[in-house]
Amino acid sequence: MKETHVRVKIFAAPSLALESREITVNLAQDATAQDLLDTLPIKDRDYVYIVREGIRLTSSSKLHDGDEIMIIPPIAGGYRS
Amino acid sequence: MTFAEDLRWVGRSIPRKDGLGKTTGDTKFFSDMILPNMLWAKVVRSKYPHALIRKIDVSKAESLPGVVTVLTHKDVPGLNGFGIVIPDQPVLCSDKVRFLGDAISVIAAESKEIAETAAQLVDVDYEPLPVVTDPVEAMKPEATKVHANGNILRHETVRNGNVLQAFQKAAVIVEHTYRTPRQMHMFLETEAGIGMLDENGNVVLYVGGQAPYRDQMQVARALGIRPEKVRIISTPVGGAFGGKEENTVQIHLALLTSKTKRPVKLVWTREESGSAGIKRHPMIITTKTAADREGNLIANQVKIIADTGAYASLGPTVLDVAVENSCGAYKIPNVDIDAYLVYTNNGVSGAFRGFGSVQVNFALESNMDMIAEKLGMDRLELRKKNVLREGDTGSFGYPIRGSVGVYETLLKVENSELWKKRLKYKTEKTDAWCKRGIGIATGVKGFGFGALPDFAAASIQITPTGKFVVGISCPEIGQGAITAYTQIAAEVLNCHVDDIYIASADSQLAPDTGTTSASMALVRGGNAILAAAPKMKQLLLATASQLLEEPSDKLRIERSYVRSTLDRKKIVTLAQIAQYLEKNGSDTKVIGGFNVPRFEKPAEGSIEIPHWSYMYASGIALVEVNTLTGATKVLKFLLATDCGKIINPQSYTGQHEGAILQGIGFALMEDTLIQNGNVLTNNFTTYIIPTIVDMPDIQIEPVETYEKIGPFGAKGLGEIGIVAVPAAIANAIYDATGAHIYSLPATPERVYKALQNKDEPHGS
Repeated sequence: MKETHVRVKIFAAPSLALESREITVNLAQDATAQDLLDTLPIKDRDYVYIVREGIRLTSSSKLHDGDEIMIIPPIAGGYRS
Repeated sequence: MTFAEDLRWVGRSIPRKDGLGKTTGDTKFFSDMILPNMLWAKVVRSKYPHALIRKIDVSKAESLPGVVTVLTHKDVPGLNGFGIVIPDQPVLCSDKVRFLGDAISVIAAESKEIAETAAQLVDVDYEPLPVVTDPVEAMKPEATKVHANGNILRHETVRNGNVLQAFQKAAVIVEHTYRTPRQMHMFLETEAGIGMLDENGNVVLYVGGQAPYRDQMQVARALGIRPEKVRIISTPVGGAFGGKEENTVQIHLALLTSKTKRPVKLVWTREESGSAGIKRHPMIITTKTAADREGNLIANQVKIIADTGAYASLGPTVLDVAVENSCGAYKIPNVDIDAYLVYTNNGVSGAFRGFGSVQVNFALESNMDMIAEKLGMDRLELRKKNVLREGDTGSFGYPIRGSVGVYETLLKVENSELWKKRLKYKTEKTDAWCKRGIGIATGVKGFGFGALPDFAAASIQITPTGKFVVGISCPEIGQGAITAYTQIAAEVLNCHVDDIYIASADSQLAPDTGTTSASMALVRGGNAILAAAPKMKQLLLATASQLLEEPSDKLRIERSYVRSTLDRKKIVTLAQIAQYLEKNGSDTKVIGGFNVPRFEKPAEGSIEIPHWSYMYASGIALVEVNTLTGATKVLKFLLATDCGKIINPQSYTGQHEGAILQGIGFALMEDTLIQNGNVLTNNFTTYIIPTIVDMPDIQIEPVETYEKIGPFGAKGLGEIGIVAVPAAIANAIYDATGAHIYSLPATPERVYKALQNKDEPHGS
């Protein structure tokens, strides 16, 4: 079955449980933004921004092979305390 | 790159879209709104600036006729905390209060009066704690802790080069400690809003805020629901200046309307706004600046102590911007910045126009004049010699990527009549006991979130009447953003500005364009429109191609229609295209997005240093000091700024005029006085702001540079107007009297005392 490869950059608090802030995730074809989140050990996953090409995605947004995704907490910055 | 020529709308002073309604009073703000079946809310706030809560008894309040609900911390289903950077502020306090504005309970009742009476009946048993009001004392290990982890919320050190070696080589070193006030925003409309449920049970909040989508997240997190279940509408706003960037009434309204299933209105009183609302961070800044014999700045060592009050809000990022701006618009090869963000029981500090830059600018620009004097060098020449130029490396070791027009702003000052005839202006005076002086200062501020990730999206929809609806979530907070968006959209869509409608600040109608903050709303929204416009043009051409049976590359959009370039008689109107799309169930809306350029990694020790690009300003003030009373009046102020391309000259001028007046307030009269945790100046009767009689003769001089990352070459402009104003005024007071000002505001008492103690470097 064909896979969807997406490059993910994760900022600030959501990245705390990850070894790297930049990862590549392989998902099933027709995967959604929620599917991506479900693969990541992110705390408070309902309250992060998932962004592609400057546009916020909804949880049901379809991902495309080669997408570059940013996951950002909804704060003025990305303060990693 | 250079400016585009033949622009039809960009660069013109078209009337503000929101101007008529606000001028005539027809615009209804949320504090004006009354809904059927609406309840009134009241917040029960702490009676102590620092205390443990032993017990909360709401039974008497609940039993008052007309009271519908009384909520406490037990009724917060999600995270009982909010805060843009760190959610350390309780929605409703459970075990401890840390300032007088802390919320303990919220009440919804049938009338405002009943709600207020019920608030008096909530019985809270406190155990008072020692109050911490001095940030220096708060930093000591033995100080009473405002939060369990200690009072130093953030200690930030950013270094470049070697200041100690540079100080050894210096021809002149100036070191002083400066103090800045706790300025209040004093927007005309206090924090206010109305909450209700829609037909699907979703929370709908009409709230004057600066960040609809971020508010949506904070509300959803506190209610423990998904963000899509919350809709935020944040326009119109009766003034903000940064003071409505944080959550204010949003979560309380959401809790009450969810519980009662009825519309609920909450409007903070002016006194409540004064005690519970956000303020500008007061700072204690020690700046040691060194130059060589030729007047080259060679080192700057700075220590900043910022009082963030009881909670973090945006304090960590304000501190970061203060650190970045502590070296000003200059290239200083050796810098050592040590900054502390400290909890106290003094209210809450957060975002305010200038965001940390105004405070540190006062310190550095005061030192600059002293260096010039010690070197026997002209103060303007000293600044011209050291300011950044395009392609320079900044003081923190990063290349300056954006356009740099700061030198040109100094040339505007140099060529002004005020500067050229300064000796003549100084000799004129109202009375024999008055002295006049001229002061200058240069300032800088980055726009946007610096090295932090940021993005913006906008939608464009074609309507059945052939007009365009542009969806942008950044609220208009009085700065003229929706007019600028209209001009940009009309320019790129090649239509009349009257054919553009901006659907702004509604999380249901507009995509996430980010916040109205950091002087970034224009750049975010403008670039998002530029990203969406080609998609709309493509949609129009593709549809016209079907209707006209011509290839789309042989079609051209001309105002309200699409025409064939092969046969000029073949046209289809935009209205016909939209109607065709709707009839066929096709999407009439497109979305464009913009990732804000940034440095991938912040400077070591910082959060967001450096910014990709900066705004610049130089100002010159003429003041008159009454030596008998110490009263200072600003008579003239010329401000030259580099804000990139100016989209609307009238808005540009208006923004700067307002900023100058707010800067005069900071410099001469404004300070929220807090004594043992109690706010003494929480109304217009005691907190004095400049009025029309304080307005000097103002001249605004634009320096237009082409900013590559801005729409049509524009930068932001909301904040830069204030940055250099206080320092220019303080320097003018010295020029007039020979008395240095180390603490702002320079009230008559302070100036009078400084006149009596001219030789004391640390006069209060």
